Amino acid sequence: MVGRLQRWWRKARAVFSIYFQDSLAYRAQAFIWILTDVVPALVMPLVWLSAYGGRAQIGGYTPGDMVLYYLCMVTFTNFVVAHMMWDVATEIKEGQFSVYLVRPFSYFQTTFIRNLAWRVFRLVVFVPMLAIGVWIYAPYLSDTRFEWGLTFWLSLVLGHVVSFMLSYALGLLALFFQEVFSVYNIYYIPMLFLSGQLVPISVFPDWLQAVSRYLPFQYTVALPTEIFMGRVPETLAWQGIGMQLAWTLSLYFLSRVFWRRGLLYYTGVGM
Amino acid sequence: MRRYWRLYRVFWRNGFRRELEFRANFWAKVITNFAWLFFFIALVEVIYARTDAIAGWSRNDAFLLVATCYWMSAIASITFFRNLGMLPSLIRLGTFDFVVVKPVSSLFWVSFRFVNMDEIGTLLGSFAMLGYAVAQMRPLPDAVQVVEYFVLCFSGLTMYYSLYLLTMTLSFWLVRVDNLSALIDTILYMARFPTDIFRGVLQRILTFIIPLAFIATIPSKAMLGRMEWWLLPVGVGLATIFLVSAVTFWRFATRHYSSASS
Repeated sequence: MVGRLQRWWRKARAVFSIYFQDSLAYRAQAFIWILTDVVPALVMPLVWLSAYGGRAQIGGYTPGDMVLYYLCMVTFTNFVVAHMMWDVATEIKEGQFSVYLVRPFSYFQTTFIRNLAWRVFRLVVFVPMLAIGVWIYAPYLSDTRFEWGLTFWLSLVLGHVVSFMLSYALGLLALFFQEVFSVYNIYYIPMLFLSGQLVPISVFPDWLQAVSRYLPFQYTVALPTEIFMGRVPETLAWQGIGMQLAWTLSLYFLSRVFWRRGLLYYTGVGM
Repeated sequence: MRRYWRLYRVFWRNGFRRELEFRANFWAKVITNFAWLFFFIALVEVIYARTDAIAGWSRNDAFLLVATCYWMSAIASITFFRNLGMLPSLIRLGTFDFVVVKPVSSLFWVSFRFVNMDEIGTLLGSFAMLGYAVAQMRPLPDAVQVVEYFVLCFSGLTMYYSLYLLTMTLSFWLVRVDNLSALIDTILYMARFPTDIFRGVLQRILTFIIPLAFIATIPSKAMLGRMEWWLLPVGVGLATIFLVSAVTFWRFATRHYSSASS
């Protein structure tokens, strides 16, 4: 048992280091991808700050909270939000997918670690950008008491997992359908909206907040961000973590089904 | 010039035919792009449900701004956006060789070869939105405001093209960076917000250096009758300067092009 675990760990580390180096090789590209996430998130506080017009709060956020929300959210986004479906679908369409089928390390695990390596890399590249963000918005940051206990770390890690599982399941859709890219493109609309990446969930009208509670999106970035800012009472935080676990498991089983059914359809282009 | 006009008409016919060949795919793309227009309308609605003005822009003003930004970006992607976006791979794979030897201006070919029809829905949708926003204005804009609006939109599009060309031309040197176009996409995303939300130095940078303000904010202000008159000549002047420098840089870059394959 210990021997197997050790061997697994060696393999996992090797895969991690391959993909980490891969990210390094394309660092200029990586930098641009990060900018495309970071710039809109750093502009949104300015939009809100111009919208207060003397109001003390919007959706329960004071101007200072609002700025802080975006700074925290964009930091966690780097680690949490996965976009693996594009890679998975491209590999399936172009046939490189076949190679993974014969390797002694499952495709699921490879993809998971590959995403993790890329996320860790992004977090490192992001640090100087965060410093600039904090410097620009320094006048607004006063109340910075953070909640970084167990619930925060759990929700952050599980947020990463939920987002990965979503993107992995979506990626496997390419086993069944030729034209999945349009589906992915549409997927981003509810995803961006309801994950808290665009605006905090609590500025939405009540009905939308209610709908959002039953969807996986807010359990990716919004939950860890709100817990970190101390906006979620203990019991609700645990409830959120429960939802994260539930989504992880159901998406895992869904992707298992996709995998088993899908392989029957897979033709292995280019073999 | 006549030759180019004739050629461009052939490109259009070609574009239509290509879309007719993959009809399901075409409609999927049209619907997707249209959905993104609604995405942004929803964002505007969410924000204005909580406030009645952002930096002096009412909800209706914001619709005008968003419509302006969307129809301009639809025109951009129908004509040049996708084409210039392919430049890095043309260079990396060495296929740019075949462009150079064609008996037309390579800049013309690289900018306009493929007419990309799938933003047609966004174009119509955003024009409808523009019409709605203008019809809601009290008082209605006079002829001068409308003319100023379109002149400034045209200058804005020219600046956008020039800025994009300047960036993509860099790929003659940065061979490994194939997502430079995502950078320009980000700029356009920011143009959907009124540049009045930026203050001080940043606002001046975004007006005169990266001409974000001229892409949508200033034309919309012209329509709303809230623009200082001198911004009109400045806009046209800046557009000319940007275009001339982009074309000059392009000429410089192509002179130093030394094929990837041979």
